[in-house]
Amino acid sequence: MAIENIKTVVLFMFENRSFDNMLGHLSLEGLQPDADGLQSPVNQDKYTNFYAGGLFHPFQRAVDEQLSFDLPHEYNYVATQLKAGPGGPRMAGFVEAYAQSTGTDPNLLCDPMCFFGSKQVPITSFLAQTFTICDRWFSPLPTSTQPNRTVAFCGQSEIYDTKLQDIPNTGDIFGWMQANNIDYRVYHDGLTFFMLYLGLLPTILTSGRWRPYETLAADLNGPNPPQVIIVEPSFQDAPHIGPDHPNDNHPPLAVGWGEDLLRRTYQALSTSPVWDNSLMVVYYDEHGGFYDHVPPPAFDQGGTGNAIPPVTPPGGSGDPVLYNTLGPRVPAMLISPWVAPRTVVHDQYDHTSVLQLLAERFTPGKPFSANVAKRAAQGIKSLSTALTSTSSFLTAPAPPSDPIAFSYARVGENIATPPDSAMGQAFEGAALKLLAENPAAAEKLYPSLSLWKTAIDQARAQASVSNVSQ
Amino acid sequence: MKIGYIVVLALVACHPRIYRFEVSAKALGLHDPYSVKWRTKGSTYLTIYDTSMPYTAAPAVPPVMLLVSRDGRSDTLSLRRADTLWLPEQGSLSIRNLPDGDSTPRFRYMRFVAHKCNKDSTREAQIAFFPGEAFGAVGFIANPRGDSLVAEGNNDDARRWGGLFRILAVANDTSGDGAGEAPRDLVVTHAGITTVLHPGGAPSFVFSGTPIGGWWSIRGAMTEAEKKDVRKVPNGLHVRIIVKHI
Repeated sequence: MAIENIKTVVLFMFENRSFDNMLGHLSLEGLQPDADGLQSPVNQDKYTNFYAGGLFHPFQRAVDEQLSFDLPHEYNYVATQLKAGPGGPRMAGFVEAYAQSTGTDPNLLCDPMCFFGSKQVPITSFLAQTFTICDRWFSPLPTSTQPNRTVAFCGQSEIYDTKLQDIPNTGDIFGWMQANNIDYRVYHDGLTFFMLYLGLLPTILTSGRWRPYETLAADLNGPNPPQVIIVEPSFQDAPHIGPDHPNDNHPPLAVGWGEDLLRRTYQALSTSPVWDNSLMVVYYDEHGGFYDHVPPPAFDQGGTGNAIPPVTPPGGSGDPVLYNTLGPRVPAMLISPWVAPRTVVHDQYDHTSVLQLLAERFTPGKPFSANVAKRAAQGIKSLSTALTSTSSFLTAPAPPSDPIAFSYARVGENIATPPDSAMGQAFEGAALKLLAENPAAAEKLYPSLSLWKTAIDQARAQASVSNVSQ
Repeated sequence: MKIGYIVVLALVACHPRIYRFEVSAKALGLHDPYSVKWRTKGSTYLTIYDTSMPYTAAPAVPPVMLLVSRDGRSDTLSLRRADTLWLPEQGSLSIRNLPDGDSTPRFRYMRFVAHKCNKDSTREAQIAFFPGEAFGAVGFIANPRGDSLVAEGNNDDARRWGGLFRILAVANDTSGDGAGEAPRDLVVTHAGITTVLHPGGAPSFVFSGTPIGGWWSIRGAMTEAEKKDVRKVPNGLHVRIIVKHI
């Protein structure tokens, strides 16, 4: 069987981009006509978003650069973006949600409607044109980061929004791998996202399986490469110090740093002995508030163990939160010798398609969990449907080597006050807890974290004194 | 150690801020002035560049001469590609395109950046410059009501058109070419006037002189295909508008 050829699965999840934002150019530029991306003209009626009497359409960004704001993508805003109509989601409220969230008058070329051309995302576009892409991969939930990442790595989510909270890790992939003797490692380019699950802290700190990203290439060339590798970018919302820069592609970041990380990861894998029997899954946690033209299909979320938000959104304004669909499409690529070259797979996937694949490969005949099986029963396919029984890439093609052009800027975050964003608060809370509970292990895993803690303590003390004196 | 700590503290705590960035218009006549007001923390600059109107196949726009006024002093700036104005942390500008005989519509990007300690905070504003007349659209999400589709709401023209343009004509551009809304007669009500616009028909001048803003109602009969399958109902209904600079 094709799946038996896969000995190492690499999971690489970025943040907050829609399919059309990153891969919509494939069809528009004629690079992959079979992909359900954008079509010319991009100002046609079916792509129209409406706001306050105005019409808004997709547009290609002139350059890859930092945006003015993060885009709204909490469950109440997603409900507005989907703009449910009599026939289901209409994908017509992205600009409206942006205006509500930012309090600004939208420009004609409004950020949620933007997409990249192939030259602006050269590594993503190269991989998409070379290997297999999935153009019916939806985020599992029509909401934000924490719930979607939880479904990705637990198969279900007991939370429905993103905030400072201890996220339940019921049924997490690490416990599952431990129980089934599956060797795994997590390579993190910054603070690991999994520290937001307090139940995972002991595993993170003591298992020896969380390693700096810089060791990935050497480990892939080592004697015992793991069976499952999770690669984590440096999250924008996490604390940063010194030369570290975020590269998770989370708006308002430019995506150039993420393109660079993707290239380095692909190069590390494709030039290692692991390549011949590997599958790298590159996907995004959710759409991040960017427009996508494909309505997500109906889905019974409550029936698969997920927490359901209230129908009435906070403040009583906006569209009702129906929460009866999958989330918007996200970019997803399968990179392996064991996928068809230059191919688009139209099967319906979500993040639990990965969990289905892992179970088929490492625990044949035994599903990952009951809730993942219930999602499968509602039409979510396993990634194994995209694998081939013959190898197509004895030698992996080299990625473009040109410098990646983008307008680089770090997001200006003020550490003198706690972060504004829910994810920023969550990361900061988790980092502080990590330092408080096991400072020795934290120091070993993240040597710069204690410096960051000292810095925020000092900055906030000064800010407090300043406020009092005023 | 203490020095290192102080350096780290300085690097991490240092950041830019944009407290205010306001541009007074989103659509103007070619030579109308507009204002930019701001307040920031950090090195501040405004990058300006012009392109042809989005979604058109118009060629690149020619350079234009800007008259930039600040604190009672005016300078001219030849805007060729992307020009950057370095600014203090607080202030206001008045900007106007100087007449040069060119009447090409143009679309202006203004990227406003506060920079400090290798960090940026940004905002972007866009302005469309039109000669005497301009094309646009008014539209709303459509919902079935009986056998009709109804799209209506308040058109907040101040957001896009300011007070400098008025309706000259309206048209129904549903064409049935497969890419757009199905062709249908549209019953349009605005400014106390109701008219019927036929698909692909000539522009109607019945709303000439009315404001762009205010309540609009656009109604049309559902097609047989839409009645059988509501998934075929279009997201919205719209009318094309031709506006005239006043």
